[in-house]
Amino acid sequence: MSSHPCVLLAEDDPDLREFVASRLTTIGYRVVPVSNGLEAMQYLSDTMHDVSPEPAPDLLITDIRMPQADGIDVLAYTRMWTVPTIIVTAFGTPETFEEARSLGAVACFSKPFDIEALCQTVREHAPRTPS
Amino acid sequence: MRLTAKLTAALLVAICAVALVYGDIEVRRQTAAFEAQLEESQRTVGRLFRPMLARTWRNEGELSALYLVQFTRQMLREESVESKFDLRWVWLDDAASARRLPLVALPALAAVATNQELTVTTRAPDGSARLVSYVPLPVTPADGRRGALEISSSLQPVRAYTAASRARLLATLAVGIAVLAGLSALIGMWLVGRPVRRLAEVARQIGAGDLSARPGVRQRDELGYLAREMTRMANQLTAANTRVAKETRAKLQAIEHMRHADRLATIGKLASGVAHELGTPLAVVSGRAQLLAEGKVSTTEVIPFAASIKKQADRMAAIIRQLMDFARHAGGERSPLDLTKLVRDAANMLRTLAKESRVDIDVEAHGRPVIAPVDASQFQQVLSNLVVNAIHAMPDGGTITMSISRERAMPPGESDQRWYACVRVRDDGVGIPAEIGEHIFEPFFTTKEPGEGSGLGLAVSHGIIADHDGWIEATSKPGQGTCFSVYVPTEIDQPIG
Repeated sequence: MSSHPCVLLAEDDPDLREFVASRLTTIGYRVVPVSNGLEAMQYLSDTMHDVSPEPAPDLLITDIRMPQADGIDVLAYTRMWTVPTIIVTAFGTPETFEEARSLGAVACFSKPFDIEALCQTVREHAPRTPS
Repeated sequence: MRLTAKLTAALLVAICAVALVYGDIEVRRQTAAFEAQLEESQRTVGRLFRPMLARTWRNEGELSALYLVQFTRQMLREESVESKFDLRWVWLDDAASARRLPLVALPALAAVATNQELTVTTRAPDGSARLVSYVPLPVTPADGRRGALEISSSLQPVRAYTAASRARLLATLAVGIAVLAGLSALIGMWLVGRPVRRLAEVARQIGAGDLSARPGVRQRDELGYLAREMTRMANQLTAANTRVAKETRAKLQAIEHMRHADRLATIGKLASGVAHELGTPLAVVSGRAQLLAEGKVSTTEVIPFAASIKKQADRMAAIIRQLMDFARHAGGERSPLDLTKLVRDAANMLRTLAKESRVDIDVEAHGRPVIAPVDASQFQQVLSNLVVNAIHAMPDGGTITMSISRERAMPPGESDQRWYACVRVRDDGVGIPAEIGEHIFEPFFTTKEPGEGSGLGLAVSHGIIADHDGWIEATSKPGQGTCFSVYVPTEIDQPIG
């Protein structure tokens, strides 16, 4: 628990990444935006092993179909670190979401999504302690 | 006509031979009969005269006898008979005077000396042929000399008659041949020449494509039979023609249907990609609008929010327009277009679809335009097919590289190099095994599961590029990937790219 939990945001579209990041920042989160799964796993690894001074993520938001490391691969990775992961994707099918949930995803959103619902889910899994 | 001439000539030669042989035999027979008759007449004359001569010789002596002969000879000369007999008394020895010398040489007359009659043919001193008969006289003069009556007549009349007969025969033959030849020519022309010419004419017309021509030859013979068969053949050709025309129409229709089906499939795939692609900008629009509507945006942020919404809306409009552009053109109009732009557009349209399969699309281009006369939506259809195939070749994801270039190349089956625009779609997927390599462009050939693909994509693409006077090549190594190269003829007068 911290006053500014860190959210690792993996999204390859710059406009959407910027929008979600700014909204999460507005509601009090520290956002680390990356553009693909590989970068996400890299950040995770660096921070979890204390190689980087950056804050370790308390939550991960990621798309599924990204170049260089699929979201599913990322899921398997984050599971090791027990970091709650939310899936946000344009390619959502019931089967894909089922697979994601079985791998430990805490929520799945299909684009276009309700931004407030997303923020609410973030609050649930990475609560902020009042500062 | 040559046929008739050959037949006629053969026939006439046979007739000639037979006629000549028969004629000759007949003439010879007649001549022989004539000569036999003459011989008989000569001998008869001799025999009739002999007793009287013998009596005169015995009673009045040699001189009177010889005078009698002379007298009779004179009388015979004055008779106007056809073959004048010349009656003479001749001695059968060398001592005879010229008057009493036989016409025939003595050695030949040995038989006469033994009291036998003899008839021979000989030449007179003036060269003419004569028939000479010898009738010996049973008179033995005191000096033991042998003599005989010589009755001779010219064979010239006979010879003349023979010659005339032969001439008549030849003349008749000649006339006959001429008449027969003429008749045969006429009949040949009527029965063979005209119908054959007519049949040849009809054959020519049919060969030139006019299948309505029919031979009007109705003879009840071999030519009529030929004409009937030709009619039957022409009817069958007409029927076959109609069948072929129908089949060609059906085939063209089938190709059209195939192209249309593939087009719809492509539109469907692109639409699916578009639907997914719209999700992202729509998320921004809906998110920002929602926050605005709920009053959660500060005054200073309103304008940037609105600007972002507009930007995403424009983005969505562009995405939709691309798809509509592709869907709208029914195809068929070709114009010089920059293939680099077409390739980039196709890559943009297909990028989201590719992303779903974890595939990237890269575009390599020089930057200089590569212009070629193409139908934009048909070309896009080809590129879509190739990209979709490449995506399927990489089930675990990968990268598709599309490149455009201008190069000199030789069309398959030709020996000239020309300038072509070449678009390559390369993947590093599973590759195409050698044994299916030659089948990939066949319609309905597919290695996918039923329902996954129609197997039309490459066949239709092949047809479209062929219509553009180009061709598609595939090079592949199993396990190393495939490269499809699309060649389209390019304008000559553009800067070398």
